[in-house]
Formats: sequence, C-alpha cells, structure tokens
Amino acid sequence: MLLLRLIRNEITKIIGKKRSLIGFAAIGVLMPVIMFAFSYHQSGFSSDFSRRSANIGGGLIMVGTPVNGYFITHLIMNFLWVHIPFLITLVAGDVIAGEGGAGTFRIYLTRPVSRLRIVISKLCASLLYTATVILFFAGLSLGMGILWHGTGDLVVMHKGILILSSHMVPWRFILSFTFAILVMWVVTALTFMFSSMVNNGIGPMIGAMAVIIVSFALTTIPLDIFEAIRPYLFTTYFDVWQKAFHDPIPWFNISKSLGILAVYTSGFIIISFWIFVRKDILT
Amino acid sequence: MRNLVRILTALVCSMYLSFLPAQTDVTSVREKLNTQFNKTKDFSVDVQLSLKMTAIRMPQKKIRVFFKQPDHVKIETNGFAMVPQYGLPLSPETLFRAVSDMILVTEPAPEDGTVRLMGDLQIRDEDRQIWNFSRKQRRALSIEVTVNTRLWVIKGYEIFRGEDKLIHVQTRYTEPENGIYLPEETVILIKVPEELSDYQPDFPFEEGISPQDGKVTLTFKNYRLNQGLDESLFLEGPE
Repeated sequence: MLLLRLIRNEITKIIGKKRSLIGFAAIGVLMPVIMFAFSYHQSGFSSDFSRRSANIGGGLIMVGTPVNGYFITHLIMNFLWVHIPFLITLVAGDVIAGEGGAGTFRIYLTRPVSRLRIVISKLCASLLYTATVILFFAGLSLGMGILWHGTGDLVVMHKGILILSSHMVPWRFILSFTFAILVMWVVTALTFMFSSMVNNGIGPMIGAMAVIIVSFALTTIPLDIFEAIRPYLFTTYFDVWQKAFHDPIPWFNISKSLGILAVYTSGFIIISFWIFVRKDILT
Repeated sequence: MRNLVRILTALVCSMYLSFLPAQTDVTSVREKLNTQFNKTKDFSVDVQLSLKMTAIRMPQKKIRVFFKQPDHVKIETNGFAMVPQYGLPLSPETLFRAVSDMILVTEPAPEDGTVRLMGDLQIRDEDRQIWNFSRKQRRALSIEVTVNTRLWVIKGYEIFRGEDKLIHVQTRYTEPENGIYLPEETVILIKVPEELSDYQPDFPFEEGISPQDGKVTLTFKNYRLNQGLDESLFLEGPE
C-alpha cells in the first residue's frame, strides 16, 4: 500500500514536468502529418510496390492498394523504433538524477521509507511512463490509421511478400506492441541505471542514447568483425516486435530474444538499486 | 543465267506456297478463337484466387473481374490482391498481340482435338498490366499455345526461356450459356530460376532471393454475361 502511494507520488512528479509531455506531443504531431501524407501518396505507393513485385517473378500485378490503417502503423513502427528510445530517456534519465540535482533527496530520504522502496517506486513510475508512451503511440497510430484509411490485410516483408489476413492483424499488433514495451523497458532500465549514478538529468539521457546509438551501429553495420559481439548487444534483439508479423510466428526465437532482454533489464535494475541504496547524498 | 533465275524463282515460290498454308492455318485458328470469344459482349465473374508461391504468401482472395469487348478489364477486390492478369479470361488477341512469328506446331503431333501454336513472346512496357515481368525476365521468351479445336478456346499455354519453362497456364472451361465457353478453373504453375530474380537492396527481403516456384489457382463462378456494362466502369482502368 505504501509502495503504491510512493508510485502515485512519483507519477505525479513525472506528470508535473513539461519534458514528460514532449514524447506525447511529438507523437501527437507526427501521426496526423503521416496519415495526411498517405492520403496523397497512396496510389504512387501502390504502383511502386507493384513495380517492385515484378522482380520476384510470376508476372503478378497488384490490384487495389495495400495502404490501410494497419499498413501505415506497421510502417511508422519500422521508422520510429530507433527514435522512440530518445523520448523514453527524457523521463527515465531525470527521475533520480533530477532529484539529486535539485537537492530534494536530502529531505525525501529522511522520511521513514526505505531507499529500496523509493527506488522501486521511481522505477515503476518510469516503466509505467514508458508503457504509456508506447500505448499512446499504438492507440494514436492505429486509431487514426483505421479511421482515416480503414482496415484490411497487412503486407509485410518476410521471406518475400507476406500478406496477413485482416482478421489476424489486430492480434499481431497487440503482440507486437507488447514486445515493443518490453524492448523499451530495457532502454528505461539502462537510463535509470545511469540516472542513479549522477546528479544531473542530462548526463543519463546522453549516456543512454550514446550506448544505444553505438550498439545499433554495431548491430546493423554488415561487417564480419562485428559478428562475434552482436549476440552480446541488447540492441540485436530490439527488432523482436517485428517477429510478431512473421508467419509462422517464431516463438522460440522470440522467447530467446525476450529472455536476453529480460536479463539486461534485470541487470541494469539491480545495478541501479545497488548504487542508489549505497549512495551518499551530497547535494 | 535465265535458267538459274527460273530455278530460284521456282524455289522461292515453292517455299512461299509451303509457308502459306501454315500462315493461313494460324490466321484461321486466331479467327475461330476470336469468333468464339466475341460471342460475349461483356461479362463479370467472381474469382477465388489461391496463391502459393515461395516469395509471395497471400491468404485466399475473392476478386471480381469485369470484361467488355474489345479489351476493357476491371478488377475489383476488398483491399488488395496480387493477381496474374494473364490468367484471367481475356480476349485471345490480348495474348496473340504479344506473340510474333507464330507458327503451327506439328511435331510432335498434337493431341486429338487440339492444335499447337508457337512463337516469340515480346512483352512491351505497356503490356506490363498483364505480364508484370521485369525487363530481365522479359528477354528471349517463347510461347507455346494449345488450342481446343472442339470448343475453340485456349486450353493452355507455356512460356519458355530457352529450355526452361517459366510459366504453365492450364484452363478448364464451363458453358455458362449455350455455345459460350468461359474458364471455370485456371491453374498457373510458375518457376522462375534464381538468375532471373532481380535483387534490389531497397526491397527488404530477409533471406535474399531464391528461385521462385509457385502455383496460382483461379476458380471462376457466377458469370453474368452481356449485361451491357457501361464503358465508364472501365475508365479508371485496373485498380
């Protein structure tokens, strides 16, 4: 009960900061722009897709348009999964370091609440914020996409062109966004860990983004020399959400990726707890 | 010298005369096919499309095809579909227009009640609405068409590149109205070898391109013939 009150307290603090709204504002502005743009570029997109499918062979033509709310949401997910971490770090980076910098810990930690409970409440609030950002993204992109462009089958690229039947697409999105939340929780935990180390909110944000950018680069640059270290980089498993749209769904592969991400998340959390509990509050 | 000219003239004439019946036969086969197909001024039909290919996986689709003479086609579907337009009931001339140097094949002897025509398939850019092959795949194609001479319909055809058979189309017919024969089921077998599959880096295939094998089955139901379809229906062209 006490922990719940602490979490509510932390959530109130997060909501009170303007930077917490930046993520929502960015997504809120971007979605209508993309939806609007697709209204104009739909036919061009279809003919381009048809032209490309000529290379597969078989002489098939595309009839109708693959563009619908599901397709646009999937496309946006493909573009944004590299950028969403930045929106996450804005809050997770400030949640401990910000209070350290403001000097509020000196009073806060004199209360008869254990440090562990405080750090758990801050972590829970950060994870909740991350999940809310992803759910807002999901709700807005799917909601606007369906209202603006309707529903239908979803075209994805998996071993060629894979067309998923419209009735199975909503479940795939639920699965995919769930995986996306779990992936972003790794980013939250990493930033949270950096946040527990310093007393300035900017450092953890930049630090976490630097780690993510370097890891992404090593994950995606197609050089054999990076092949050996790739399995040890958490960003290698960030694309797990895409596997929800494969057919058949590679459950073993997904479980392995999520398991590795869970190990990283737990590791970051344990380190941050250990640092915060032992930390000297000097500011 | 005069004798030589006479001999040469005789040779040329005999060659021409031997070639003429073959040409006449090809022309007559085309005419009979067109006469049969032109019995229908327009029609619409519901098509169940089943596609099983290595590079394209699509659930079964229902499409509706509208046709009006001479060659107006409109395809409607819920959402979208990948369709082999060359497997739809189009005018025989749509096919023959893309074939040059067509001859009647006599060796090996065709099945009873059929004739075989052979020629070079030359797909132009404007034919890509029917044959959506890449430029690389379009090169040096030949076609062999089997015609049912009892019903005067195209029973099937095969597209070759050298010895490789790329496409095999086989059609079974139904008689929706007395004396009018239209497809009931068309089965298309596709086998595109690896060297004809163009890799494009901006087309994110996860495992690259492999030889493309596949089978497309088109089942035609509910023919509605000669409804007087308006030309405006076809103005937008195929979607």
